[in-house]
Amino acid sequence: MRIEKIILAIAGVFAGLFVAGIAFYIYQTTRTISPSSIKTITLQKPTPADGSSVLLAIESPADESVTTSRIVTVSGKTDPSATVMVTTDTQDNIVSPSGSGAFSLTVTLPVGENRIFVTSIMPDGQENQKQLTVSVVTDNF
Amino acid sequence: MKKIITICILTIVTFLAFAQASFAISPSPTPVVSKIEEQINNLKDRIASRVAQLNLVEKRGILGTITDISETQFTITDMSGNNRLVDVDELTKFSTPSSQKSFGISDLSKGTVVGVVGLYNKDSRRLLARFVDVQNMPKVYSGGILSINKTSFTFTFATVKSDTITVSVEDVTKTLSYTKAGGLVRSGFSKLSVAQRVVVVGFPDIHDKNTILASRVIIFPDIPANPKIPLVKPEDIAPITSTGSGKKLTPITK
Repeated sequence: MRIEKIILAIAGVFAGLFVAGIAFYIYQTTRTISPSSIKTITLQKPTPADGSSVLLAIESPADESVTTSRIVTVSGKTDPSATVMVTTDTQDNIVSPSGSGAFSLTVTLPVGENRIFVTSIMPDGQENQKQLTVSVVTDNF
Repeated sequence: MKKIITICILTIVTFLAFAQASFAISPSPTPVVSKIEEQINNLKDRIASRVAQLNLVEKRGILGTITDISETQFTITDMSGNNRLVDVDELTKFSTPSSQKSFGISDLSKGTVVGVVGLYNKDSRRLLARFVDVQNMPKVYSGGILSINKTSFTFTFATVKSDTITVSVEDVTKTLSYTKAGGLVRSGFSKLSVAQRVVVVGFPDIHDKNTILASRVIIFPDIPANPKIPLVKPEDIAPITSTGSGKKLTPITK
């Protein structure tokens, strides 16, 4: 009689786990999330991390990059009201960013190691400058 | 009672059978690995090793000033002020704009500005140089004009780092002016004014380190100079009044 009770108890536990497992599986596969419960996270506007109060983020080219093309696209993001100046050792280019602050322009570089100075100048005179090194090579290595 | 026990046993058996099915894993490999499988595994290892090696090394180009040099390597301080280790081997090619004859690592010295292109190892953080070029690059400054000397065609300007630099405008100097309305247009020395924002590209005068021989001057009439630069505007200077004693009071500037 005692053994029967123990077996019955164990069987009951297993049966309970089995039923609970099936119920949990059915719940997970059939549940839907209502749109009202979805929490929207909005990323804050990035702030310059280099001590300057003017935002300037360069997307391309990467610093210290090596390319086989002499024509290089300089693109990035800054304040929409800023003026962006791109200076190389041989030429100067000035553009105004779009409404979203994005800017893009092409520069022609000589073969070898080149510096590209990207300066974002605000209407009040504050500025942020970033310097890139871009190498143009003709030989494969 | 027997019925209940039978039902319970059946339930447990069913549950264990489901559990076995859900935790089933792929059949264990046979212990006997054939020669072909061994070759495939070997090839896989070699490919994985090569891919890892390729991911570890990338082409990079850096610019900097040599701070330490030996027979097979040198250290440079790059434009951001970081020390970078550069290795040199028999495949490294050296060049200098001033000499056409053979040039090597023994011709380099501390203080020389070089550009290095090579293979950068992300793990060891060393650059295996393939090309080393001695550089003679112009300086690029941004600042505000402090004073203008129209007789000697020079002007002084201050930078954010509080440097005061004299700029000599030469015949070859290209002077440009930028406004939002007109864009970048040609300008001249006469268009310069005190407190104006200016960008100067040029080379240091070998006779005077504080003087820059300008190759390009860009002025921004619409945009003021960086507020961090202490500039004395013409309207800020108080008129000098006579004391009647023959001596003139001069404004005290700090």
